[in-house]
Amino acid sequence: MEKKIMKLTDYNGKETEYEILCTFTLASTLKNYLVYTDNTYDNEGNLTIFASIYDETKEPKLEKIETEEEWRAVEYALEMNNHREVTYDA
Amino acid sequence: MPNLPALLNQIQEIDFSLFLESLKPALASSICFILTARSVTNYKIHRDFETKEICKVEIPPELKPKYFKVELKEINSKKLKEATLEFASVLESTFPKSSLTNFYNNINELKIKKNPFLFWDADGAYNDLTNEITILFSSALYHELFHMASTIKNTGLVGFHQYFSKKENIGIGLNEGYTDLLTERYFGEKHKIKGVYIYESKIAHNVEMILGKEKMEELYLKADLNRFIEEMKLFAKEEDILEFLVNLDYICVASNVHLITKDSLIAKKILEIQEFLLKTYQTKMKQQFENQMVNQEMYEKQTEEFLNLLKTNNKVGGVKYSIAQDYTIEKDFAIKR
Repeated sequence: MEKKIMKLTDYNGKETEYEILCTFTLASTLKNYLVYTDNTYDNEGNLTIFASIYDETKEPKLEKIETEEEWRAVEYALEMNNHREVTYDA
Repeated sequence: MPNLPALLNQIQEIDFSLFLESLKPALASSICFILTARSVTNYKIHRDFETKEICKVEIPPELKPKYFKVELKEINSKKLKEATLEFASVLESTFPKSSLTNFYNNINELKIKKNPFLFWDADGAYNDLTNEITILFSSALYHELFHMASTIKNTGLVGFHQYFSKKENIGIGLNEGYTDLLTERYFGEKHKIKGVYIYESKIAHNVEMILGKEKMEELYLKADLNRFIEEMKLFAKEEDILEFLVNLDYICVASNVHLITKDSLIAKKILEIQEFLLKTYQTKMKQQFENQMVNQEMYEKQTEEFLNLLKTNNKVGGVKYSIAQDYTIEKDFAIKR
């Protein structure tokens, strides 16, 4: 399956690529979430994963996740991703 | 065509306690996935990613959220567009927007086709993987549209039905019953639609009387079986709720086999379902009565409605099961004045 890559650019013009693992929307917040990785591992062999709110109301931008409920949803999304055979093809 | 008798045996052998694991954790709200890429097992989530330093975000176009409104141009290009537009209009005017995320995610890209050679046992079907409705008769469209509106794409979560694998498959009976109930409620009178999941629909209605109409509709449209169970746990044990769901699944599949003789197992399951609902309803009403949320008159009136519904229509696969024991029911619900 083709990797889904997100490109982020900071104010210094530096571009960094991240692999998107899954996306989801929470009905309670009506916000879209991205779960992604820079494909690095820590000393214990854990993949480094980040998650943010994706907002494209005006310009596409990332926002910090603030609530515990949203973080639980991120963990659940990852569990679901592992739990089920991936069938999505864009 | 699946081997239905084998499927029935499979449901019968389900250890429903296994669902206790697979259904957790229960989220407080519904979740919509677009699953991409790989699975990861060992990971650490870093919560400190600094988003303020990012000035430009580019994600693959196929992952961009596409719709949060009904695109008339899209609908007008579909078969049966009038019925689809009517459905969209009723949903938007009836339910809060927060319950319509799945509907908006699916409606614009929905595919509808008419197929005179559909199935031997159904007038329509919704494929939640391809977001496609296939129908034999136009009247079947509304039921399938409700499936569309309550499906989280590519997750195995359809209304109250969750299926991840053959073993982790639960809630089809409640889901089909509630889909029929909503179809009849919002489109039945105008289009003379009669449901086919008669027993399941009746039971779903009883469950709705326990949880409340607004909550039940919200949980269904959000495809949130986890929260359904959490809400029911206010009045019943989790194991009993799961057993109830599995029993209703058995009956739902059994009625599809068009059984022509009485099945003692079905009678047993109808009785178990009835007992579960009575006990759960009783617990709920007692809580409300003790908390002075209902008075004596309301208690008796609502209880009578609940019991009347529960006692009727015990018909599965064309066979009527007369198992309601009026005396026991009434005695259980008598209030000591």
